[in-house]
This record gives sequence, structure tokens and C-alpha cells, in this order.
Amino acid sequence: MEKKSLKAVHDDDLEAVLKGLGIYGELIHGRLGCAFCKETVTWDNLHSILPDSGAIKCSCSRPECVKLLLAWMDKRRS
Amino acid sequence: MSQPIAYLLTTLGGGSAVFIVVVALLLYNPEKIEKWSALLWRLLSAFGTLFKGAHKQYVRLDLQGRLNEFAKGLAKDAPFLAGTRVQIEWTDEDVTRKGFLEEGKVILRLKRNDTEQTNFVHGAYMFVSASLLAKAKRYISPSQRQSLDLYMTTDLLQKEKPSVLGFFLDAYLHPETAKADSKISRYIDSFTKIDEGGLLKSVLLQELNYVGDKVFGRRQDDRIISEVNDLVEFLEAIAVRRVGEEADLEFARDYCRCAIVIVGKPSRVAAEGHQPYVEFVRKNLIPRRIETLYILGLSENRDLLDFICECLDEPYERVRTQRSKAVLRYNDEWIRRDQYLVILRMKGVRVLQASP
Repeated sequence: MEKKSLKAVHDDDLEAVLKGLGIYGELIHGRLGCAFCKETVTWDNLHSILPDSGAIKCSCSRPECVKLLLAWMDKRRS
Repeated sequence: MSQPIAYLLTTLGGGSAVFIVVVALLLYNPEKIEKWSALLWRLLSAFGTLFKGAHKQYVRLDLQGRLNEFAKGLAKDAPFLAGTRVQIEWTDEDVTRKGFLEEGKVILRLKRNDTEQTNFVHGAYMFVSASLLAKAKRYISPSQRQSLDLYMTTDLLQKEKPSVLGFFLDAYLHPETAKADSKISRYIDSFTKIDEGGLLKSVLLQELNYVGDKVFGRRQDDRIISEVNDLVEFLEAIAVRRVGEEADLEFARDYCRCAIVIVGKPSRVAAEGHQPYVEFVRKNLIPRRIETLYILGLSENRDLLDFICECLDEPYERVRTQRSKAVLRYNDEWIRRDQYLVILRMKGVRVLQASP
């Protein structure tokens, strides 16, 4: 049976993970924009963290951006 | 009582046998262990910091268990979709910028304070999008892909966590279906009709799976998108037709070549039995290289359907049989009936074929 892994981070580890990735400061100072809608990503609306062309980006939890993220993931797979 | 259980009860005694049977059942259903463990961790997480990490375990096992149960549940209608098990992999403080970029995988955030249960909705939507029919989805249009994901995620949530369905519909599905002239809205409408007619997972998704195997690794081709569009229209017309009404039941295109053989007219079945169906396939479908046959009828005609399939064992082989419920249209009345379906695939159909 094929196993698919879904990478996730729980809130308990989120601060440490963001620090490990070097984007914690940007997030808490409101300097992180959503990769899709460009709105500010905050602790409350952070949906996912994505690697894109050597940069680390984040996306917000607006349904439109979630759909764009899935489309972006599809495109990267094809 | 089945023989192995009776044997265990007599040799080991009731208590031990029941224990062994329960353990065996759980091992055979790991997703059940995940779901029950999730409940335990959820209880422990109510004690706050006393059980540190309990909430994290609960979120992981709840999501993993329900997604895997849904995938397993697809085995009946769509076994080709059931072969995937999902595993939630935590990212923790050991992560580095370099390692994350090298691995190249998206990290989904799962919340501790999740009053709207968005964790499950986001995890389920991402799982459906990334796992189901992954090969075929690379070659279909964005609206076809998005419609399939929305439809299957709705199906998943309805079965596994109905309490979050409203949120998903309001936030994701309804904004798409409300748009005037939306392609997604039209596809969702068609999928609903095809599903009610019992043809979505067993025929449409099966055909998409075959197409995915054929085209995987090739360049994208607009003809695939157009064929999938036509296939949806073809199946919708069959799903809504009145019982006994003539309809086009063959779909012979470049990538997708299938036909539905409906065994049903009582007068014909009583008078002529299997012969007209077998002759029809031999004279009309085999010469046209129809690769997949869906022999469909009411459950009461099961023996006849099986016999027809035996007569066609050259050049076809049986892929699987399945029983399902479908809503059929008799004049202006819709009636739910038990159906029986046998899927036959032409022997020797090559996965890799020359481009049409």
C-alpha cells in the first residue's frame, strides 16, 4: 500500500519551527505577506509554509488562498 | 459463526478467544486504532498541561484515522483509489531552512485552538487534492481538477466528520457553485447526477484512472481535457435517462474507450437470455477496440450478468464486480434500486500506447 505523508506543524511547535526556518521575526512584526493574496500573514491566519524557488513563503487561511495553494502544489507536481 | 472463531472459542476459551479476535480485527483495521486512540488523547488533552503533547497526538490520529478510513471505504467502489494510506509527519524544532528547502514539501499548520475544526477540513482537502487520482489530475483542466477535489472532499467530510461539512460548503464549495456560468458549478452538478446514478466512482473515476495510467509521463494534451469533458456529459446523460429509453452507451475516443451494456429489458431477458447482449458486444464493441465494458443491471439479474461475462472471457477479463444503490428514473418517478455491475477490461491493453 502506498504511503503519502502530509507534513504538518502543531501550534505547540510552531514558534520553534518558524524560528528554525528564520521567519518568526517577520511573522510577529507583520512583515510576512501571503504568497497568493499578499495580505499580511499573522499567527491567527497562518495556513501553511511553502518552499518556492529557494525562498520560504507562507500562505493565509482565506479559502481562495487555500485553493490557490492546492493549485500551486498540483502545478509543481506536473 | 465462522470456523476460525469457533475453533478459537473451543480451544482457548471464550475470554482469550474474544481478545485474540479483537486484536486481529484491530490489526486488520489500523485506522480504527487511530480513531480510538485519538479519542483517548482528546480526553487526556482536557487535563491541560498535565499531559503535554496529548492535543498534538489527538490532532494527528484523528486526522490520519479518518482520512485512512475514507480511503479504505473507497475499496468497494473504487479500489484503485483505496491503495493510499496517509501519514501525518510532524515538523518540529529540529527543522532547518536548508533542510526544508531541500525537501521541498509544504507544511500545513494544525491549530491547538480550533473551534471551527478547520484542521480537519484543511487536512482532508489537501489529502484529496494531493492523493486521489494524482496521475490523471496532471492532465485535466484546472476546473475539472478543482471540481473533482471539491466533490470528493465533500463526500469525505460527509462520511467522516459531518459536523465540519457546513464550514467546508460555505467556505469552499458554495462560492464556486454560486458563480454564474461557472464551469466548476456545472461539473459539480454533473458529478452529483452521475453519482446518484451509481456511475461516479465505478465508471467515471475508474476511466480517469485508466487514462491517467496511459498518459502519465507524457506532454499535456488538450484532447484529454476535451475527452474528460465529453465523458462527463456522456455519463450524465446515462444517469438521468428514463429506464428503457435509448441512449448512446459507447464512448470510443483516443484515450478513453469504454461502453456500458445495460442488461435490463424484462421482455428481452425473458425471451432471449444472454444471447443478444453477447452478440452485441462481439459484433459491435470488440471490433471497435472498446477497452472497458461496464455490464450493468439490477441485482435480481446477477446470474445472467455473470453468465454474459463468462461468454466474453475472450478477449475480456473481469476486473471486479460490485453491488450498489442507484436512483433510476421510471417515467417521472425516481426509484432507488439495487444494482449489479461487472467491469471487464480487454486483455492485453497496453498501459503505454503510441500517441493518437
